[in-house]
Amino acid sequence: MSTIKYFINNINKITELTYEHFILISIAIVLAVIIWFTVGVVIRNNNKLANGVIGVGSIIMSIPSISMYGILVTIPFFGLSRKSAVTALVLYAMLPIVRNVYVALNEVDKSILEAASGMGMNKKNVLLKVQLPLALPVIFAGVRVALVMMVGVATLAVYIGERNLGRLISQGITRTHTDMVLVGGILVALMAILVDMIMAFIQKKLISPGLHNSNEYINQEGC
Amino acid sequence: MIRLKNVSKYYKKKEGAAVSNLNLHVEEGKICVMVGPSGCGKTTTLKMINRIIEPSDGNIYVNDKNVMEQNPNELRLKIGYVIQKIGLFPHYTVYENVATVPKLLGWKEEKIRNRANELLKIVGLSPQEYAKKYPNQLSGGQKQRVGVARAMAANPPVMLMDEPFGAVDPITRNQLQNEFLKIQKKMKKTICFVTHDIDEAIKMGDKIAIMCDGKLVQYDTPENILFSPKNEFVEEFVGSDRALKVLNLLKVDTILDTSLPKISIDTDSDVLKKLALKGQDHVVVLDDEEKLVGYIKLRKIVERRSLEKWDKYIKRYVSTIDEDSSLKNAMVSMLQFDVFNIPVISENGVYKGIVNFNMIKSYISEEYETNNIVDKVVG
Ligand SMILES: Nc1ncnc2c1ncn2[C@@H]1O[C@H](COP(=O)(O)OP(=O)(O)O)[C@@H](O)[C@H]1O
Ligand SMILES: [Mg+2]
Repeated sequence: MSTIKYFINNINKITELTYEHFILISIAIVLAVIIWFTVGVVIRNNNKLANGVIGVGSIIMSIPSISMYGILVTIPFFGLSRKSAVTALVLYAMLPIVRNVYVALNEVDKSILEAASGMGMNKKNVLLKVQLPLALPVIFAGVRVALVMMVGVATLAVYIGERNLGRLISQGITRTHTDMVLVGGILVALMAILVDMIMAFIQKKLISPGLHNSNEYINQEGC
Repeated sequence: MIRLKNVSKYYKKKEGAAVSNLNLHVEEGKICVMVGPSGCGKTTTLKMINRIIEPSDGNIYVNDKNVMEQNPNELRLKIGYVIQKIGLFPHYTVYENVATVPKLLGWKEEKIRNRANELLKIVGLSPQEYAKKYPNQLSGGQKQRVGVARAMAANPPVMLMDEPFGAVDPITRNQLQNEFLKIQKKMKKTICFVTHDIDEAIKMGDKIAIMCDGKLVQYDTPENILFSPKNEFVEEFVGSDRALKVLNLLKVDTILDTSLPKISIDTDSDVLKKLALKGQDHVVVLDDEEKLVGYIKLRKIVERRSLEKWDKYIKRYVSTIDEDSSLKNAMVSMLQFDVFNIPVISENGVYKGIVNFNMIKSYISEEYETNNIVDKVVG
């Protein structure tokens, strides 16, 4: 009960923190998709380069977020600003997005690509009209992983000056204010679920129904 | 028209040639079937024609133009291509799949729609029912049909087909083959068709190119391949049941017996008597529209009875056979109904003639003899 009371009493502050949280991950995911999608497309045909890039992504992923923020704020250009927070989130998104773009593009059935170029499609059309649409489900999976991760990692950005739901958690812990921690934690979890649902919605709109598993298959030739 | 001149392909310099010094000429409007054991270079040869693979040596001409002097994409837009795995675009509907090449060619929306609907009907899929379906909603046979329709979309004069009916069950395959031959009768495309199945080759090919280890062993009509295989490899590849395969190949009209007298139902009995006196045993009875009614065994009747009301002696044939049928079909009917003669009728029931068991037998042995003699002279 006291949790709900805390929530209602502080509704303005909580709304603001939620909003800031959402803005931060929105900026980060848009930038991450633009950058890492491009990188994934560029390295798609170069195994060695791809292994290198994905390796870098794995190393970044293994850096604890506190030290990542710590390193970034010491760089003069970033400092104690939103730039640092966004950069950290974008860097963490590297592995899931780049890897999934690369794998997805390379796993498209070769016979379909051969049919496409064999019919006279140029390279650009094969990529845009066939390869990418077919890779989209796997690419989306990567973006969703990155996004859900960002919602969590963003909470720690309060240590470098961000005001977001992480603040409720960290302040609640230092003050042993259980309700505050609980509200923060629940809202972060809800946000993760919400953004994932938004992505699922977008995914459904963008991906051809032909790529959903279908059980409508009926043998009409009769046996 | 497709012409290959001294074409070779080496994937790796050290290894032998995947295709070596191949010469092949596919005439306009004909189907050339390339057949041979797996790995003999059929697919490689096919893919060199539309430049998916570049030849290491030699020249390839499609409609008298050297393919190497054309932009590969423009070349491919003019060549229909069907691959074994079909390669339908799973994210496109059936309609969008068929519309691919017309769209690339910049056709108007309405022209594309009309063409796609027409093609779906040609390959036996109702546009209303199938145009909006996705490939994962189709059976294997239906996918193959869409693959063929897609390849024919922009009405290319030349088509390359790599084991197009390879991935379906034998019954569907047979059906697809028949339908495709019917389509080809009208469309008259120049086709290079790859298969590893000699029966399919014999059925589909105007000419058959038998390949082995990247080399062309024999390039000939199905009849000649069956009757006079050039060497042991071909003989073995064709199989020991060559004689039966020949039957499959020959239409009933090659040995159709049209010598039996035909009479109509209202023929005067005097005419029958005369025929009987001439020693005629059987006569065929037709109605006013030349359709088959039955037959009469004259001699038996003349010996015992008057011919006044002869129509009550008409007997029906237990089985008839379509004029498009092969001699094998005829044989099968003969064995099934335990008869030696089967009348051949056209689609609308008009009598064409009789096939006879002994005639089939002597025709086959004659063909073998002639060719064996030729072999001895040449060899
Ligand atoms: N991309 C390739 N790289 C190297 N060797 C190949 C390649 N494609 C085919 N080959 C080889 O060339 C030969 C002919 O292959 P292919 O034309 O596919 O035969 P077929 O279609 O008759 O089964 C085989 O020995 C095969 O291993
Ligand atoms: Mg092959």
